[in-house]
Amino acid sequence: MLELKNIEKKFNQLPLLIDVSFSVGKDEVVCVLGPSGGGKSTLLKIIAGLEKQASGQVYWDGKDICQTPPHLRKFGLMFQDYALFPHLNVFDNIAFGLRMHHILEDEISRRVDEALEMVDLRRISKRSVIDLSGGEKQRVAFARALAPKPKMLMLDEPMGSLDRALRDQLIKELHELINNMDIPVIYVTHDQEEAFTIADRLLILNEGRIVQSGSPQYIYTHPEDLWVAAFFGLNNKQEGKICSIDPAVAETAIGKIAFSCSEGNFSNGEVVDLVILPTALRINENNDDNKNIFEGHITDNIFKGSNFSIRVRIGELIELSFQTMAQYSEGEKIRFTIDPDFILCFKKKK
Amino acid sequence: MNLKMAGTLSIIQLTFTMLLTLLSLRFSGDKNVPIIPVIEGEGLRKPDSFLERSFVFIMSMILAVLLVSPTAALLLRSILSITTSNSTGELANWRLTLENYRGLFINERHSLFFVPPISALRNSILYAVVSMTTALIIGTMISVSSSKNEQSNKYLSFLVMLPLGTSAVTLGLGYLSAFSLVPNSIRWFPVLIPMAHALIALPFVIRIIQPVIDSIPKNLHEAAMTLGVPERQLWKYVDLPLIKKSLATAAIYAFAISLGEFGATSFLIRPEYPTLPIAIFRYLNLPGGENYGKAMAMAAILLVICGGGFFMIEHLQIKMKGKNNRSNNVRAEKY
Repeated sequence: MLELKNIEKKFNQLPLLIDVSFSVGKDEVVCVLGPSGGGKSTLLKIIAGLEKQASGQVYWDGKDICQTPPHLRKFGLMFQDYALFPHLNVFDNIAFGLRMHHILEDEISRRVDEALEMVDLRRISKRSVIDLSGGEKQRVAFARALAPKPKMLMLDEPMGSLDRALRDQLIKELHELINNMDIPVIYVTHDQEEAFTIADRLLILNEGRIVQSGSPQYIYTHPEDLWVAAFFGLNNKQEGKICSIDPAVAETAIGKIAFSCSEGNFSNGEVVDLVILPTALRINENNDDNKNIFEGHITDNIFKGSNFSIRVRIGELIELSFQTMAQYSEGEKIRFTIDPDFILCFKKKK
Repeated sequence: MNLKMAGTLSIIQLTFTMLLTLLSLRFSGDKNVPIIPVIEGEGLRKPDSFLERSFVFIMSMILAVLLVSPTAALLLRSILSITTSNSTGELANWRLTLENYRGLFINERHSLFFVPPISALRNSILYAVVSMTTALIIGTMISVSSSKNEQSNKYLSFLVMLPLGTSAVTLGLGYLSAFSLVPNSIRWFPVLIPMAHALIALPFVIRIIQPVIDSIPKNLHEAAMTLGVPERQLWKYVDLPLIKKSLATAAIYAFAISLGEFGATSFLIRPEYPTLPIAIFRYLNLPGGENYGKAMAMAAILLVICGGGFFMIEHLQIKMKGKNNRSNNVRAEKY
């Protein structure tokens, strides 16, 4: 349906988007995930026709739409701060797009009611948008973007200005609403949890480039490089030197670490970065191979609701973070195993 | 008329005004924040402490003395007939009467320059309507173009602020000097009056409209475009509804400024088309207590019309606001 080819964009002579190409299929929910300032919103604006790219093409159903003005593209766009018209009430905000398409008032009324029903806001249809809470504004903006029945829906950080509790609640509702739609959706966010909940497919955008794309689960477990791993919060990095290829073992500052290596093409003596996933910690589990056994002291223990986040000091300088179900006290000495299946290995970039 | 000396003094005044305007532009690093809609009465509160209540009371008294007392005195004097003793000049008798108002309609000396108050009022309103419309159109155009271009904003700000510091007399003198060179131009001077009034009102109009236009978030335009508004119609569907209230406020100012303007008008007026302030001035220049009373009556008429105009437009705005369910109550703030 939507296809972008080699999109380039500069801002103040600096590249903002570099050779961005991807496509979005019918009913597909694609999530563009990346840090703030990475060009995500600009990408949406280029698709919507609100900004012009320096080069590259945007196709819809195989037709180049670069010269089509935004009001004729019929793509719905929901803005981060919602961009509701302050001079209109809830009903009129949602009806705005329908009125611009010269739809009869009876039909407008029916469709606005339908949209309000969908977002459960019928009771406040005559209220001024100024008086709405953040969550209500978000729903109105969503209903407004959907009311004209767009060919595609784009959401730019729709949860960006909401608090955590409200965000958790709304993300579930939004996921349900999006799943019930039969149009392609592009969802832009910097929050990986949101992206994992919403997306069929993730595009990781860093410094204007798409650095990886794939299903959320695949990207999380197989990050393309150290940057992607760090972006997902995988910060247990250990530099090491390959000392055995089969089985794969690297010599690091905390000792020899064995890891499962199915894809890497490493050579003996090669310097690599090992990333230990926070879920790699195993305690009191049988380890017949006697591999990856370490001892350390708990330096930090934070309750995270469903689990604990602990920091373990190994030796004098090295600290690793893990998730665990058990509670430990600070200073406690533990003996643990690092599961080789939960270790990623990256070739050292020159 | 010593035009040479008047011109020199005007240039000196203009130079100072330009310097001050430049300084003001140099040091005003204000940035507009996006338009912030507020709930009616938000932020208002009653004075709590004794100190606050005292402050409010004292300020109210000062305002009453400075604003209400001259207005009241003027209205009272317009319905007061005073006779003084011929020998001592002391107050002999006084009574309340409408004689001053009736006298406005009588040409006692069969003067060629007599103008009934209705004509002066008609002229004033006509000039005010034309100058208000002109100021609003030009002011809005300048505000819109300034908001789109930072460079032009800088230069236009400088230009449009000039009439604010330059006295209306200088402006009238400038018009007189420029257009008196054109043969038979004097017959067209009344046309120049609303232009001069519009120019005087322009800085106020721009200062009211521009911050609101500047504060309209860009994403409102973008949202409107994705919802089907062509770029050339954004003004109609987004900007105009948001600046409606500011336009009405600017209109009140422009109308009131024109209605009460005297300095520039006095240079450009033709005797047969006077405005209310000019008519007041004429009565004040005539000898006799009854002419003074007529001047007061004329001033009272001007006051009532100005007040009525303000009240009418304010009332209209309240109705507009009610209709739009408070949604029009938007505020552009500066920090």
